[in-house]
Amino acid sequence: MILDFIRMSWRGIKTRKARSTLTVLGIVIGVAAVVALIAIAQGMQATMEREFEAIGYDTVFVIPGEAPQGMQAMPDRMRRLAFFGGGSEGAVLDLSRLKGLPQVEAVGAIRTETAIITAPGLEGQGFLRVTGLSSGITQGFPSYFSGFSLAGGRGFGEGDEFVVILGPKVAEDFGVSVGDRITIENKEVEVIGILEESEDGGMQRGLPGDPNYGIYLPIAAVDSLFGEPGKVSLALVKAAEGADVKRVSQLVEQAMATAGTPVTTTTVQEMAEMATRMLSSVQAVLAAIAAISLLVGAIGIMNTMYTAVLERVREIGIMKAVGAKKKHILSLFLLESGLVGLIGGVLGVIVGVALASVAGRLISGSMNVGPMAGGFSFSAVFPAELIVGALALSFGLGALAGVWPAQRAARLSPVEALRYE
Amino acid sequence: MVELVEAVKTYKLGKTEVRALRGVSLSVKEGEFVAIMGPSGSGKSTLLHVIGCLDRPDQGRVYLNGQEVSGLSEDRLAEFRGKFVGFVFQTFNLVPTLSALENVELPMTFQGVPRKRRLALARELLVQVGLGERLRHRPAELSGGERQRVAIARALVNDPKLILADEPTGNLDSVSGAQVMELLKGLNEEQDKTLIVVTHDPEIASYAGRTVHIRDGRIQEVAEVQT
Ligand SMILES: Nc1ncnc2c1ncn2[C@@H]1O[C@H](COP(=O)(O)OP(=O)(O)OP(=O)(O)O)[C@@H](O)[C@H]1O
Ligand SMILES: [Mg+2]
Repeated sequence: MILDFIRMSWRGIKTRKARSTLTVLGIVIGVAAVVALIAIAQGMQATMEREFEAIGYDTVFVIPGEAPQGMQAMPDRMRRLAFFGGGSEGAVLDLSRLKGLPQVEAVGAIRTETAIITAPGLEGQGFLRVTGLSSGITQGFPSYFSGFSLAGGRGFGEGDEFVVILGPKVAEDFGVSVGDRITIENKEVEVIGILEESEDGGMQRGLPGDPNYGIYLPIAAVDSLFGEPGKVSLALVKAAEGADVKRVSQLVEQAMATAGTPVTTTTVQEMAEMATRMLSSVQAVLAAIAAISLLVGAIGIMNTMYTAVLERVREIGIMKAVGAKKKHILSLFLLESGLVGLIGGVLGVIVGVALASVAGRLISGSMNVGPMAGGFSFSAVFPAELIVGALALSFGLGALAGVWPAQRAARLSPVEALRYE
Repeated sequence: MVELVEAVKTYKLGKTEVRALRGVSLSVKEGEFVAIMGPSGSGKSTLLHVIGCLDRPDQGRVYLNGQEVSGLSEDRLAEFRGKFVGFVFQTFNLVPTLSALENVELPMTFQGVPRKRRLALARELLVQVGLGERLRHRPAELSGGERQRVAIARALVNDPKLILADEPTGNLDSVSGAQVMELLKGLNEEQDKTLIVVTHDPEIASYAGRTVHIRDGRIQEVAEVQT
């Protein structure tokens, strides 16, 4: 019985191809928008969680300098994060003071400078950013550093100074392989390792720049090439297991302020919260837009169904004359509008999935979170509930839009309907 | 089979009232073939609708097959006419988007008859009315006479006891008209269907066993015709 009704409804849709197509299009747009937005938002959420998880929620980021007090309207943590976003000039910090703090497990330092580089594959000189890593970073933050696997050569070892590990792309540009030499600030350094190409850029586990173009030295080498030993661009502090990370970050700020070198800290937890908050407000706006386009689609269905009822008054009269009850007419029209919705939903899901995948690729690599991130590995997520939900929603919305027209159809008196010209 | 007692039907058009039936009493026995004649606007169609449960009288009673139907709800009426009454209209009233076969199937769909049986029965009836070669044709692809035969097949498909035809030959030439009348008469004689036909054509009325004349919403006389 229900199958027969579906068949009849389908025929109703087919006989008005052009109008049905346009109506379906309205729903497609709405559903595609909803699916794409949710998939992208979920993808972002998942990516962020994954990245922050990888850095570790026990990590405190420390940059030299105080966040400016100028923008009082900004909440404190926002101000701090904004400061992180702008980056810091760097300053000499006595990080050994931090190692003594209770609840601190490891401390690492990163120093970035712009260096004059010559290499076999480079014409003339290049001005490129080099990154000095302390042994605290490479040893104390293994998970943090796990984004770097070597394609060849070795990692930094005890006593290494004028050695360099290159990202695969920059190694190619330099025309060098493991064992070759390049000069940095006129000093010859040996290439001891080359990183594996990272597909997505990673979030660089918080390190500056794209690792594919990274030029990494022991921090001691950067100190002796550029002077100002002990200068730090970014320090990482790992809280001991079970420690209150927020408290640790406060202790770090206090300790460095006492030493006369104020710093600003933020925890991974804070960054994650801020990112989530930003994401959800963006999401709310996008969801509202998507909801409006769905509503417009539903009104389109209502309009089409209302016209369909008017066009088919006589047909309704005929069906009633041969024994159709109210519920039969009602279900015919509801099924028809529901089917229009469902077809729109299926196509909308397809379009939405395609859109979100493409958008995911575009967003990937162009998104920055904080000073320590370059590219952002990102892909949209399509949970089964999203797909099923979108289909159910579009059928439901279609049927709902058909209620009013279908009721009008069902209420027609058979004699009146048959007389209708 | 059919029993009308003082049926009154009044249509309101704004402030004016059109009294289409002004107290019609009529009794039709099972297996009878009755013609209803009368001038245009006299209430013939209204009478047929009231008999066939398409419409309810404002006053009076209608009994079909011993059951009072004048007080039934709209859905109960729909159910009743679906099973018990077959309609044939002057303008055929086929669904234009459905094929002949599907049009004949339609009443069975609302009775919940399974598809296989519907198809078999619809095909059988179309063959019976001489349209075995036209199953897939849409109404627009059929002649008037063929359309009316599809409508007759449709009227028969739930095996109703009562067949009501409102000027079934009104839109047909005399040859197709005669074919249709022969078909209807055959149903009355061979299958013992009770048949009520509205017409203004005395020739058509002559097929019937009895003619009822109606004028201004009232029955005029009941004339017995020799058979
Ligand atoms: N829905 C309606 N609203 C208002 N008036 C109506 C309605 N249906 C019928 N009438 C009026 O009721 C009267 C009887 O109509 P009915 O259709 O029964 O006539 P009829 O005898 O079948 O005429 P014809 O031979 O022209 O078909 C007419 O005057 C008609 O105008
Ligand atoms: Mg009439």
